[in-house]
Amino acid sequence: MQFLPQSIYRHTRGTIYLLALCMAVANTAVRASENTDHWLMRINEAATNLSFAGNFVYIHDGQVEAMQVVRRVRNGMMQERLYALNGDAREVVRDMDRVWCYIPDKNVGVHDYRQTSESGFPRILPADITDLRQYYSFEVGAQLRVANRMTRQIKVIPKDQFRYGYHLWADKESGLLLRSDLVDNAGELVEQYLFVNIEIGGDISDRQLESVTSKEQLVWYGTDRPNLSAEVQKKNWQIANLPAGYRLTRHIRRMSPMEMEEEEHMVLTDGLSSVSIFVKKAREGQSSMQGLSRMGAVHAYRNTIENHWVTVMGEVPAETVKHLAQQIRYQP
Amino acid sequence: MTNTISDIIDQQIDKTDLATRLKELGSDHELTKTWRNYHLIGDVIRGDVMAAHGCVIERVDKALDAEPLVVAPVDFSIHDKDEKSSEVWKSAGLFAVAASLALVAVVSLKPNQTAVEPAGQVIATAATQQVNQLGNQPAQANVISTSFEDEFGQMLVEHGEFSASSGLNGLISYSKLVSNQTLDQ
Repeated sequence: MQFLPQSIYRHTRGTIYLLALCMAVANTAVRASENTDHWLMRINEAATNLSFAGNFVYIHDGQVEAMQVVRRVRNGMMQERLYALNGDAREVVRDMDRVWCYIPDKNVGVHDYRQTSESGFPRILPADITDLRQYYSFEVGAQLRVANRMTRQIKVIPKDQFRYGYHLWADKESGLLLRSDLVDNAGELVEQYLFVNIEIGGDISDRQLESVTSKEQLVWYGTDRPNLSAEVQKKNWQIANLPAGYRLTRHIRRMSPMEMEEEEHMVLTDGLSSVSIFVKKAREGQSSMQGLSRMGAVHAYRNTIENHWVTVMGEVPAETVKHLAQQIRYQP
Repeated sequence: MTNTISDIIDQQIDKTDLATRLKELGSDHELTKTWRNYHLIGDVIRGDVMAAHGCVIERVDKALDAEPLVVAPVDFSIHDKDEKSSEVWKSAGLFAVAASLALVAVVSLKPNQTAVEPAGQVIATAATQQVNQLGNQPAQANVISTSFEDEFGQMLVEHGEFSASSGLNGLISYSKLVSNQTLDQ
């Protein structure tokens, strides 16, 4: 028995089907979102909390380089050692505050204080993934065996031309990132990190964190205190039109350790990609490289503005650094 | 006399006093010579001194003779725990600049790997293209100025350390740091 006219009934039934379909799609989207969020958070957590030791390859510009990495997290303190397996036995040992670079091929060691303790290895993605969804879409992909472990792929796809994409493979058991491909807008590989073997967890001994080259074999250079810097209060350098999502997170002034000239350093980020802008007075009578430069995934663009060298740099497409370099203004 | 240079390099000098001291440096022949020695040693450390400069070894030897403390190895067993160590570190601190430069040198300062776009030239994107270029052209092809290389590397390190919470940048920086293979090898 029908209480409604046939036409309204048909219309209502159609609407219900449509609503049901929408709800099903929405549920699927929510599940997918929860799934990617879950994976991204796992990656983040694993990068912060796990100890591991393994070998990986770093592929860039048609070159393949093999490296060994050991990382120990104990009582919230992190220690790492990175060691080149090809060519000269260069290595880096670092803890939360300091870094020692061994360059035996030059018979030199360099000790320095870290600028921040935020950039871990291989930590990726901030906690606030919601914001990132405005500028990237996330997809959970297929399973893949990496370094004899099963991983799940997570694709981070940029929504515009101002950032690169990431294809990540996270260990299913621990969430640790075992492979990371940086891809450009055409989907072409820019850089790749790929573990070939890894042991996750377990006890990392002091010996595993010791350098192969002894300190006594090298002539050491270094500073005996952290670099001094101060937040800029009066911001004369303004960026007129930031690409969507990028925001200024740091603006400091310090003495450049190279030329002992005062320089300003601005850091912009969308939460995943980062760009630095360096500003310093142009040296009288000295010309400088202008325009675009590239090294691997890193693009840099230098302009001379108001007698200052302004250099924009980051692991972002060339368009991004060009755009930013053209948007910077001096406002006395 | 060299205290002035030490103070400048060690950044122990007041900013307002810096300009005056730099003027002093420019007008004093001996100071200028010492300053150049410091930088010469730094140049050698970072491998910037080309064979074309000639007599480099001799110049460096002389420079080292003139400033023997500068290259004294740091004894890490006493590292910044007592006065002795602070003296050692003060000496080493003289080379805050060189240290940074040496660091820069390691962070993949590979001129031939850096494709530049001078005067509107198209940037080389394919690694194979670059390898071919290296095989067929003089080593200086596509090489950016040494000073900009230094700056580029230094900025790369600073960028890596300050980059957001994405530690992937850290990973990239340090992988480049231990990187050995270069296209010009």
